[in-house]
Amino acid sequence: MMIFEILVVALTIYLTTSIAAAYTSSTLTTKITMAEEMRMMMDTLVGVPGDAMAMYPHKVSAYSFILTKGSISVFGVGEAHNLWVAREFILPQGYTAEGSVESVDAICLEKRGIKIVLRGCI
Amino acid sequence: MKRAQFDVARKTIYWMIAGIVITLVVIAFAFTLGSYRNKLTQVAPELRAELLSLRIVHNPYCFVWIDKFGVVHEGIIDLTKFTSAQMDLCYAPEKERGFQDFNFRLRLEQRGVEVMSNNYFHKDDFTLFKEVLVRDSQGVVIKDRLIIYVEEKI
Repeated sequence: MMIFEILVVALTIYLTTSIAAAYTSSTLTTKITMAEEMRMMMDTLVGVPGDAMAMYPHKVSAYSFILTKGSISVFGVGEAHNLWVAREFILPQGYTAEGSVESVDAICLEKRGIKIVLRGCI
Repeated sequence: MKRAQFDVARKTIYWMIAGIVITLVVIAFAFTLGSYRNKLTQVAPELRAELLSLRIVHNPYCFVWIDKFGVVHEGIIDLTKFTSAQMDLCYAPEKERGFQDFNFRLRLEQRGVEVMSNNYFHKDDFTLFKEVLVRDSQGVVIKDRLIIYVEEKI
């Protein structure tokens, strides 16, 4: 009977440790943070009247980004679509946003008039 | 014999209850970690609203005055552009799901005029204030305060 109790305790410890390890090794937090920050960068660029460029201040070579007129998506290289993180934003009428980057160290958002482009920084 | 049977029955009931409790504790632990992760990635709504409202006084597609030479005068609101139609050009959430996003009611304090975004339902979560200049159709510029009532989501 004692052995059974020890087994139950060991199983519980294993389960909780596995759950914690899964959360810590997950890149979901990083992707969510990146998507939120990119969205805020987009909102800030819309608040600038002329041309502007902003560089995302972190290394992002492990991730890919897709910018469309209404959203920014962040995902790991080769990741399944259900693991992508997307954040929507609202642009003024007439504005366009486009661009995609993959495995680039630094990314930039460049505003030229009413067009916002996502590209790797030179 | 009877005592042994009693012990087995007691242990069985004990482990049934313990099994349920341990399962609930493990599930609660998983939810706690998930909730902590959500807190880590949360962006303060005031910050988001502040960044969204930048366009109101800086973007020529919103309410900013543009003179006849095409120069954009940031911080000066053109009263002739301070309309709901212009608001729809500046910031228009999707009609079907827009209530899930930020919506705004803008009010020029001294002029007493208001415009609202298309999914605003008068549920003000917080307020932002911006000191602005307002130019009317006669070209008169006066100082005013722009009050931005922010509705986070319904």
